[in-house]
Amino acid sequence: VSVRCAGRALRLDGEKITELPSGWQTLRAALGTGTILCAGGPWEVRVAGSRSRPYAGIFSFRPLPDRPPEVGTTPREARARRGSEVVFRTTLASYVAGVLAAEHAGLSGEAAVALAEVIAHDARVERHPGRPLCDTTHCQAFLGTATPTAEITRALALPELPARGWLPYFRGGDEAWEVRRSRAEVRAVLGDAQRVQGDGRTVEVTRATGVERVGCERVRVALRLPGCPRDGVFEEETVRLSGRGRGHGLGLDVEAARRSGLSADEILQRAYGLRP
Amino acid sequence: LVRLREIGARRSELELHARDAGGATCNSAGDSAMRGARSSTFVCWISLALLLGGWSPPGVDGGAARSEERLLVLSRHSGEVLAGKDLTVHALEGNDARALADFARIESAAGRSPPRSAADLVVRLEDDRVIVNDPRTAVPPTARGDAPAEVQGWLAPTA
Repeated sequence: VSVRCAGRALRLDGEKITELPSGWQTLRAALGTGTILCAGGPWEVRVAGSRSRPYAGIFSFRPLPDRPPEVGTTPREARARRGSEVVFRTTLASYVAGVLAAEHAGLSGEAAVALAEVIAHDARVERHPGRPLCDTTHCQAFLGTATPTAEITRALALPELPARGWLPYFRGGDEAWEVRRSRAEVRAVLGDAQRVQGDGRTVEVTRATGVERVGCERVRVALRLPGCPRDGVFEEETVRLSGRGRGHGLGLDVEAARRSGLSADEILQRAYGLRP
Repeated sequence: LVRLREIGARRSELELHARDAGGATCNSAGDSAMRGARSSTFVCWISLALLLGGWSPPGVDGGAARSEERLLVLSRHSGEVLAGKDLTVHALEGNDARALADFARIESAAGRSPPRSAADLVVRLEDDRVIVNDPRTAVPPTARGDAPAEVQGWLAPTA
């Protein structure tokens, strides 16, 4: 991860202020164990050679708690649950705009207002005990800050949503997809399944021992699927999984909201029963 | 003589506005005395030049610039301009309000005292914002979107 500041880059270590060199540098080297600010503009961030994207805010090093990994977690899961030492701070408006751009770029109108309200609500909910939200789809995808749109400004002028827990949402839609996974991979997740069928939110797994219904999200994440599988065809070495739409199928279906013609309040009422 | 009277009147007016705005006063050395304001730190200082001789930056003096134009609100979290626009100032820390606000943002993040010399402007530090303005300028209220938001960064590549 590399960063660059178009203005003056500064690192704070307690009260000590150090000016950083201009130009690209690794985030790790720039940050050290301090806090870095870019005066005069946003940070530009480049990850693994991808195009640069703006991060208007402050990066800080925040040590991770010394916590042993939970039993039964894979190294990847353990790493994800442990958290990251890099914490980024911005405004709620820029964060919501960034998440909206990452989760559903180009969304406008009432669906954008509703989703912005949900994103702002979820920003207050703890997903990693004692730590900020992550920037992956486990929490809300965040790939940098963006300029708040009129819909976001409108959403943030409304009262906070009267909910306490996490409000899930997903991209939805009816775009068909199909992927192949090895039988071994499917077996590792679903056991000796003979048949897989889903309804968009749950997956029915048929084995010789009986039928089990499991939540879509566990299957979707473990098998890296775009959405909930509706069908699984077992072939010689592979399993052909197919479905329609993207995401875990829980909460607000953003694509359906976009097409609905409903107001933001009605969209939230339909998805979560939140507003009259 | 008329000029000196104008300067004196303006100085009194600015000090009055500073008190009205948040209970802080600036002494003749530019130091700020803190009062009130539990949730935010209110810091002000008035131009040493104005206090000592009434100097104002070019293009601003004589009412050439209207007070409603003399406002810049910067986010302490994102560093973005939330309201107003940049304007020329004459301060040790920079020649424009943006640089001055950035300076105040950085100094406060480092736990240091904010800058103490500027043109005839007030610099105020709130929980979420740095405000550089003419004390007669109306400042927009804090919005919910100005609050901080934090994420743990894995900083995934763009798909």
